Amino acid sequence: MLNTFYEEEIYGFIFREYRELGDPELLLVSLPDVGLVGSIAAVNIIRELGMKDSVGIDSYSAFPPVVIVQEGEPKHPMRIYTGDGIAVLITDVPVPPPAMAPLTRAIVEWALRRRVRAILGVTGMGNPARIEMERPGIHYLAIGRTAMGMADKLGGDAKRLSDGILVGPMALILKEAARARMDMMVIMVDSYIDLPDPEAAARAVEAVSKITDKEISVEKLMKEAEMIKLRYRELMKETRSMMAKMGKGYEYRAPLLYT
Amino acid sequence: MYVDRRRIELLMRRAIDRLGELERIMWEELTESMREMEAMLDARYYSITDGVMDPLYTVIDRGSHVVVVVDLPGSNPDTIVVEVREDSIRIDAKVSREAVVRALHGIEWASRLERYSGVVRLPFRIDRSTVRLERRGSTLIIRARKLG
Repeated sequence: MLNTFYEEEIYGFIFREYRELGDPELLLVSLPDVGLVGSIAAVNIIRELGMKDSVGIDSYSAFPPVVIVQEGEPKHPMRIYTGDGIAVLITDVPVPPPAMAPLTRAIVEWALRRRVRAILGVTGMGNPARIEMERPGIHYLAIGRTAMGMADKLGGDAKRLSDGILVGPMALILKEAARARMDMMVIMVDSYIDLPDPEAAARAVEAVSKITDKEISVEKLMKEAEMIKLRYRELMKETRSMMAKMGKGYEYRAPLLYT
Repeated sequence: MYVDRRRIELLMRRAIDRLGELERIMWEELTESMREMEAMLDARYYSITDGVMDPLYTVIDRGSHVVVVVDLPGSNPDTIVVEVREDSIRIDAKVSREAVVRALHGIEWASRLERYSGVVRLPFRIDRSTVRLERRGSTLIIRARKLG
């Protein structure tokens, strides 16, 4: 494990920073969710932009006793990579639902303390018609001026989600961001609900590429789609069980108020 | 200024009790989640020991029809066997060794993975004579009309 440069505890979660973060303006958050769209997209972004493992997030009570070993080096299961003015949060293990609320609060608080300008959530939007889609659609939600500006960069390629119910980690982060008056945008790509969906993740990466004005290739991601599905299948199974507990089924009903 | 100390003490005691109760509920839920995760990991351990993976699938209700999408990444297409019953679909397929090595290189237990085997339990009964199979890469799509 890398040497700790700075350590801070926020709402019971320990953020261990290994190096100077370089003032990231944007925090991209991907937590295991529908189709693992966020997780797959985030890993591709980290790889393509050559980002560095900079922060390990730990909790003695909320996370299982797990260490990830990569090329002989032990790492925290939940990590933030930085580079190019962006920070990307990924996790190798799904977060138990009771720990989700304090965790999302801690993430938003960390972003505030590091003076991040906006949070960008990337996730899938389970669509039963996904099987017929050649090119999955992109939907978004944006709160705050910076986030609205980010959404404008997507142009006609994305639709603003006007009505619906959002359930899960992104819903919690969105609520926390609104409470903390932090700008936030959530990108949701049509995807399979409980199958890893690299094609949907590729669409999410294309959207992030436009928002950040950085060229992020999806060629390798598309080429390795089969391999990714095989690699992520166990995480998908774990996530499916967590999603059911979080009441993900609520997303498939209409909200009470309509105009 | 008049301060009702007893009332303040009572309110504080109630608040502490409530916080304790919330903490207890959160711990119980967390322990329950961890227990479920452990059971899932145990099942995975035994499945890996046998070299078998259960396929991931999703069942889509289309009114009069049902669509089952089964993911079999790394499978050898010539070895896929599908056995359809009115209330379930059995799927078996051999996994290509090369695909496993490419996807899970460096992971010791992965060398034992040899095949997919599993049963999709259908929430509806289907008419077996209407079953249509389609393969898109490693994804198997099974369409059938519902019975009744």
